[in-house]
Amino acid sequence: MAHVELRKLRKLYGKTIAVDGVDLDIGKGEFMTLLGPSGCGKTTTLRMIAGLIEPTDGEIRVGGRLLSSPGIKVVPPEKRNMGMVFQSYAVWPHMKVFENVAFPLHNLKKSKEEIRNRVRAALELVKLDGLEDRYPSHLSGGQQQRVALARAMAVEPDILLFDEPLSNLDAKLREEMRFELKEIQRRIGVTSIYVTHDQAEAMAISDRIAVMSHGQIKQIGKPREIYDSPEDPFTAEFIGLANFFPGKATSEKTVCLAGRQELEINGCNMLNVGADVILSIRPHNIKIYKEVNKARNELQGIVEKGAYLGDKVDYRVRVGESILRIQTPPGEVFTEGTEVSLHLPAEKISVIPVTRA
Amino acid sequence: MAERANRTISLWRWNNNGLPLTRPPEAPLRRLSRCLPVILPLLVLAVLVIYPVAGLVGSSFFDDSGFTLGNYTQLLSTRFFKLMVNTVILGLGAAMLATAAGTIFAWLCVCTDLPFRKAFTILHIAPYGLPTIAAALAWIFLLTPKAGLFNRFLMWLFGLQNAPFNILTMPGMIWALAAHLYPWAFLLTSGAFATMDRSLEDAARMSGASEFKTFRKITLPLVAPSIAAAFMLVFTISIEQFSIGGTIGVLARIPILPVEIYRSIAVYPPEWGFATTLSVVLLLITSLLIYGQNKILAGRSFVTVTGKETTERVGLGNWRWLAFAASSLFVSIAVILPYVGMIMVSLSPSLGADLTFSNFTFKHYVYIFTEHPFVFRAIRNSVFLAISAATLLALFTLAAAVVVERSQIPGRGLLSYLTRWPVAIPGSVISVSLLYAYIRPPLQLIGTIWILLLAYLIRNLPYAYSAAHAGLSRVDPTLEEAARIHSTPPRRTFFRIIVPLTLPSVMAGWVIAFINSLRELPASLLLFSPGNETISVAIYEMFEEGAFQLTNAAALMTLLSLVTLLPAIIIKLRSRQTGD
Repeated sequence: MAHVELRKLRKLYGKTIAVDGVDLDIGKGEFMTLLGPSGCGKTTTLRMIAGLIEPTDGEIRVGGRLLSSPGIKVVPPEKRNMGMVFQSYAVWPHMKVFENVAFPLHNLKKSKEEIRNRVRAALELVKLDGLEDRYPSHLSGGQQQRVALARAMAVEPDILLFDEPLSNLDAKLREEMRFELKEIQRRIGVTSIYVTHDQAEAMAISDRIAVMSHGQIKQIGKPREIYDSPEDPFTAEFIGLANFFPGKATSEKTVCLAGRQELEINGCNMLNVGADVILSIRPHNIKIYKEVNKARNELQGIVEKGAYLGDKVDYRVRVGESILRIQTPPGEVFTEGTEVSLHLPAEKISVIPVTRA
Repeated sequence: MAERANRTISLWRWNNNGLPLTRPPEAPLRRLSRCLPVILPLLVLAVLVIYPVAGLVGSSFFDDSGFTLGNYTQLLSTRFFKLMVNTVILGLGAAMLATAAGTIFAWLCVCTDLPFRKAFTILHIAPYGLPTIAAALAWIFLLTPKAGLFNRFLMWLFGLQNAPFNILTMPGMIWALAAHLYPWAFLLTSGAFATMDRSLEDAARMSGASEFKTFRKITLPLVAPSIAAAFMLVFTISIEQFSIGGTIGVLARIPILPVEIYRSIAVYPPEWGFATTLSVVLLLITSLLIYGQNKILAGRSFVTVTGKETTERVGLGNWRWLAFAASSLFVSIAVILPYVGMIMVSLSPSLGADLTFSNFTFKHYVYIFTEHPFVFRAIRNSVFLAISAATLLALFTLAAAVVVERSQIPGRGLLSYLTRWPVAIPGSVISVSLLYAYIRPPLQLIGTIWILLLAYLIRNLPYAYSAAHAGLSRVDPTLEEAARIHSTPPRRTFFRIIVPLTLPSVMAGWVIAFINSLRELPASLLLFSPGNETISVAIYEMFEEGAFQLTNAAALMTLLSLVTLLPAIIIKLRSRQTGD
């Protein structure tokens, strides 16, 4: 178990910037997820921590030990005492399950007795006991992934790295494995860094999430914080569904929309009067009514489309120039063309300052 | 309407409920006609392959007086023993050298940060662009003890008294073969290196294994089946090839099996019994080898879940430029030198004359077209035969592939097997069996150009079929099902859907068959008749006529290589990328 510090980590491929100055602190025993779309640099960051890619610039420290820094010889992956689970499982096809899990222990020159015990313990932990003598080609995808997990844990590494480990599994198995992974991690208490593009997976499994885009970390926080108060448009859009609309701050507590309507917001002391902002609100946080209540934060619109989804109804409502997406529990169903009132609760609106480059 | 619906359903194996239909008993004639798509090509293959080869094997048990095992007693002779020893030593030596070189260079080009690795990849494939007969004669030009150009260059450079190399020896033959065949090993193993999931190696590094241990414990075992298959492939080609044994081997007086088969028929009176027996032995060996090779490759269940393509290559560090130097040296000698030797000789006033800027001449090029008795005719024949064989094969193999892959007709497995079988039949064995099968009525084809066409069709059948099969396997069957749903007749589906989609692969197959036919030697040599000579026959005849014709042979070889070099390299590069 160890804490991890990344300082101004950068990776260039020719002129392409893959990772652009990542700073990240991960506490002992923490489960940290790097979340972002493909090409955002999350896997490159993970592979730099692993030592499989040499950073162009920046520092990596694990447990206070400097692993990589410009000017010093980079510590090779085999000297880092980490375990890693790969997207393609990377279970060696020419070795039996036992041999796969024992391989890292052999590299540490453990005694035969200890290897046997540790392999057994690791396989029990991932519920694969009894399959020691199988070849990987006779295992299902889920089982192969468990072998990979057992192999990564068997040496009791300082850090466990996960590179989209569940993305090759089918949807149902993926959801089961999420909880199991989390449970195993909690039990052995190892610091874990997990890479995924699946936001639900990240929410379910992580202590904290770092949202990445274009090689940079956009926001770091607990799953709840990331979802409820996204700090930039990318995060809001990438995590769950969100409506966006531009406005201008008229006071600390009000924002004027393009349609000259004013919306009340929860106080945001970062906000300068007159600043351009983007407001974001989740579809399920908007209330939809037939009658006009003349309440605050109420907008008038016309239902353009409605789709009944069983547990909810998904509407697209035209308000002035823009379309808002709204999801409500199925009660009264509004047909297309109906005039409706929308209520946007002030506490549910996130205000994202527009940063001009 | 009802009748039509009935008929449609009976063609399908399942009805709408997904349950097997119990078909009404069919009239035997009708059942036969439904099987025609398999029966017709099987008949073609019977004429092409089964009849001649079965005839050959059968005839080895007969002589003028009837059934005998007498032919096989010759296998106990010292002549046969020496023949086998030579053949096996040559095959093993060439296979070891070629596999080692091919594997090392494949690893350097595919997995490491070797400088100019793309250029090296092309250069490593380039020997395939040189016809084997041209490679053989080029090495004779370069490395004979006294006159060899490269020997003389080395003697001048280092002030040596004696020639450092002699190609007219067993090691010389092994070198010539290995230098010519290592591209096969290069292609096979680079395919394995390229498709291997890199995260398997990453996982080993993360498990605490050093770079070297990872290579030893993970990389090598995973590519081992491909290396073994490459070894067996090169061994097979080495013991069945005629061009090097028939030139260097003849001058060095080192007889090998395929050459001896040719000689025992070319002498007067022909030793039929010996020739057929040797052919059966050679056929057995190559069949076993090809069978073993297929087993190895099929057993390679280590097919990897293709993960993300990682751009990281093995850093060679300080070894980078050493590897570059070693690659450059090898390529210069094994690949470029034969081309240089061939072109220099073709431009020299005479064999053994020093080529300078003042005395180079195109007279040999002029000679072969204006004075040589049949070169012009040979070129016409070769081009006609190559185009005919390639075109017929493209059509036949695509149709066969569709029947095998997309129909449920019984017997299609046999069809697939038979189209691939000739890969195990050496050229000299094909020619002996065709000689035996078509020398008398009803199919007396000996003495006509058609016997050559038959030989080329047989030799290239497997290559054309794999190309068509690879092309078809990349066409999603739902595309054809979509055509069927929109009531497209089968023939229209074939020409409007299957042919256009498989065209790139089928064209690749066409080019391979075309090039191979243009360069084919062993079968042509036994089967040609006056008026039906081919290019490679012309080259070989010039070689047999002696030194004064070798410059002319060099000119003709250079022209032939110029035509085949680019398409051969492009096709091979493409096959490396698509894995055909």
